Amino acid sequence: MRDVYIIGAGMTQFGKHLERSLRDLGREACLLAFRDAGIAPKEVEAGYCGNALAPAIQGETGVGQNVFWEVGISGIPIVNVENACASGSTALREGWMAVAGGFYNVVMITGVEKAVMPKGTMLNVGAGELATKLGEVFPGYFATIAQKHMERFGTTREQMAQVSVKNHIHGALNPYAQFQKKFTLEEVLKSPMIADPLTLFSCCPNSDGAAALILCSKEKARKLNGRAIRIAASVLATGTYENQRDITNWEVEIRAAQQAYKMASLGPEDLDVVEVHDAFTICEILHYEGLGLCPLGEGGRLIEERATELGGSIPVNPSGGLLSKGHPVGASGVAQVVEIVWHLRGQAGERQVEGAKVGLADMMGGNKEGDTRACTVHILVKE
Amino acid sequence: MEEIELERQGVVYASTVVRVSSPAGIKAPYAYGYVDLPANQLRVFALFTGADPGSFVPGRKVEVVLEPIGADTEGNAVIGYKFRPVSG
Repeated sequence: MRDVYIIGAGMTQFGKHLERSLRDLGREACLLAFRDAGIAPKEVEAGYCGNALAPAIQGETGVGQNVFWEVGISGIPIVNVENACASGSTALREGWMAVAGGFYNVVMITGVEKAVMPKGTMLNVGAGELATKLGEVFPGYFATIAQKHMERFGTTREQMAQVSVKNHIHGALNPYAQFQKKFTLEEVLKSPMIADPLTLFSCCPNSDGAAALILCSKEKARKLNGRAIRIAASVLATGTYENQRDITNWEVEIRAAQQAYKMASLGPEDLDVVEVHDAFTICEILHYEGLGLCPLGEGGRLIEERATELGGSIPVNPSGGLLSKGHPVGASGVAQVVEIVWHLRGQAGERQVEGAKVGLADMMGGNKEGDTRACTVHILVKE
Repeated sequence: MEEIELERQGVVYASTVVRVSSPAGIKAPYAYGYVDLPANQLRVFALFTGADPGSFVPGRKVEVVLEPIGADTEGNAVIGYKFRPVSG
């Protein structure tokens, strides 16, 4: 297996882009990645595009071919990847495998989504699932997890709300974030209840946006700008749907993280900066535990101790996370890695984690049988 | 594949009260969660009915009931299963 490097990264601001199309957003992200890498579109040998909802929301398929053609890429293999919230990160893993396996020397990854919905409506996805037909909604599933975590470990509403407070503090420093506004603990707790105990500001928004990465082999990276970031681990795992499992942790995430640490010959103690899938506040607390940033059950304590804030011992979601940066579903997994690349290069502006050398991006996608469909973990290293 | 009959009573494992109306057409507030059927060693997703939505706390004993859960596109009632508190 060959080493794979990221040589280009770019993204649009996340938010409401009502007047812009998927291909317009994708084009901006891809052009920024090309400018960053200093290579031309004709050097790309394969393209991978993560998108989750265009068939359902825009009635559009083949988004990858559309976006890549906007930047003059055609003829080469192009793959459209759908893996719910992990669509973009799964596209990244497909591209990583292709370069690691020696099939290509340069590949491009993009993730793009337009998921802003009319006010007050929730995404209606998973319509083939019995639970969805019966009335299950995304916040409700995570609300049951929160209830059990509170019951088993004594996690509090205040600790969960602190995740949102922290991520909005970070997002206020990120010009790419959808919300650049801070909230108090009180404001998060008193925002309208969505699914008890999760309030409105405990849930990430629906967003539009795109992100892009360019990967290459070691030989190619050597000839370029000298800012290449190595992908030390890329893992994709699927839930087991164990019917009576304890829902206060995600076995699939623990398993994926362990595989990633082994692949990278690193451990959670080596991480300087982490981006996780905080679709709901409780998720971030479970991710702390699943990734081994703290023991099982102690995620509430970790946020309360401010360890995961910028300036803390292990900053998590310096971008603002999905809660503040926004969540254009298919783009989010790519954007997490863009953020980590910026930190490892020292380009993250006011939210920079000083001296960061190792970063991790963790994404989960889709619910099935009370478990998670897809979980990706990427570890990036500055050499 | 083999069909088995599930026990009619179970215990709430986890629950929530949803405060926004669902895309499936259910009016808020409504309660759902997971019910454990110990004799079958099975956990099922379930809507709750027949009591205050906030009362389906983990550990509460519930039993299955068939009720309309909504309507199809032609206005016909769709019948589904829900769980209500065990009576008595």
